[in-house]
Amino acid sequence: MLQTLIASATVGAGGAASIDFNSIPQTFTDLTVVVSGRSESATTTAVLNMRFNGLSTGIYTIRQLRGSGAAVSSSATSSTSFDGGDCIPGSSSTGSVFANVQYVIPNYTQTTDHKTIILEGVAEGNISSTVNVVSSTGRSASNLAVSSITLLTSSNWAQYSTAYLYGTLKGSGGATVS
Amino acid sequence: MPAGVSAITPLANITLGSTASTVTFSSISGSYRDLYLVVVAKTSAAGWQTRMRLNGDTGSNYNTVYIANSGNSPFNSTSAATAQMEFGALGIASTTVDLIWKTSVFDYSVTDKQKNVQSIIGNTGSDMVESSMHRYASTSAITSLVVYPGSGTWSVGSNFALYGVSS
Repeated sequence: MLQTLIASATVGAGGAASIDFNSIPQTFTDLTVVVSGRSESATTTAVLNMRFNGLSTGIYTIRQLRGSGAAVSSSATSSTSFDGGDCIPGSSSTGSVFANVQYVIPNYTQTTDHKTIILEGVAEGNISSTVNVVSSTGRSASNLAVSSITLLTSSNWAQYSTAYLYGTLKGSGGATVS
Repeated sequence: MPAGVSAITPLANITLGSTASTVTFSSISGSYRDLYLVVVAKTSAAGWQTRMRLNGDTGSNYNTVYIANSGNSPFNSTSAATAQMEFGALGIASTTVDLIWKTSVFDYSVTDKQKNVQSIIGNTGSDMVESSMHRYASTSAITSLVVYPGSGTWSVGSNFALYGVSS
């Protein structure tokens, strides 16, 4: 079985304020979001944010490791979106450099517990101040099934940014417990 | 299958209806390139590592290098020749917060390589996330793996899903 492509988006000329996946089918068990992104922000780096179901209250917590040049940093934050760190190249970064980011969202249809995510991203732009590597885990303090996902950055997403949404279906059985 | 596309085949999946000390995947088919395990779980005891053994091997054959954080303070370390792989002191006893863990066992079915394992694990009830690499000092094909908390049990509702990845 391949991961099933649910939807994809490519940003056109003029950029886009957000990339949105709406009406996500509830027929899979896990979601994977793969982003190739660049921002129109006139900076070397720009933020990467994600929201579920259009919720913009402070329900998103994230724990993050970041590597940038020779420096390493980390954070533990709560915010109005999943803060993916400043890992998106802005328009002041090296031309044609895009970040690649993958989100894994297990059990997105369950309604009995909060939602958890894993985020891993990389951007390599030959700029030492650019955040190059990000590894994060996060939680959305909502029991709602995830039916829409919004991806945001500083200013607009730049032309040629892409995002792909995949669905994965878990198996059944095959494990033993003691 | 087109070039450059990986297939992910679900091999096993369990959501616990009662607490369990261990979850074991056995008789794993050797038909794939990598194994991919995703766990969303709670534990009865907080602050303990998640542990894994391959092929039931309790020998001192597991090696680890990792980077993690305590809030705004990152740190890294290694351990060598331990009796199990250990992943982040992130067991959590909570009604709402789960640990989330994603790990891959590369080239698990070949017999000409020692096995590398890559992992990321975290929970938002603590201030920590850990990214790690591990080496299992054996060239044997992997046919079983067991995961267990360092103390206590997995809680009801914990979910363990194993996939085979082929290229």
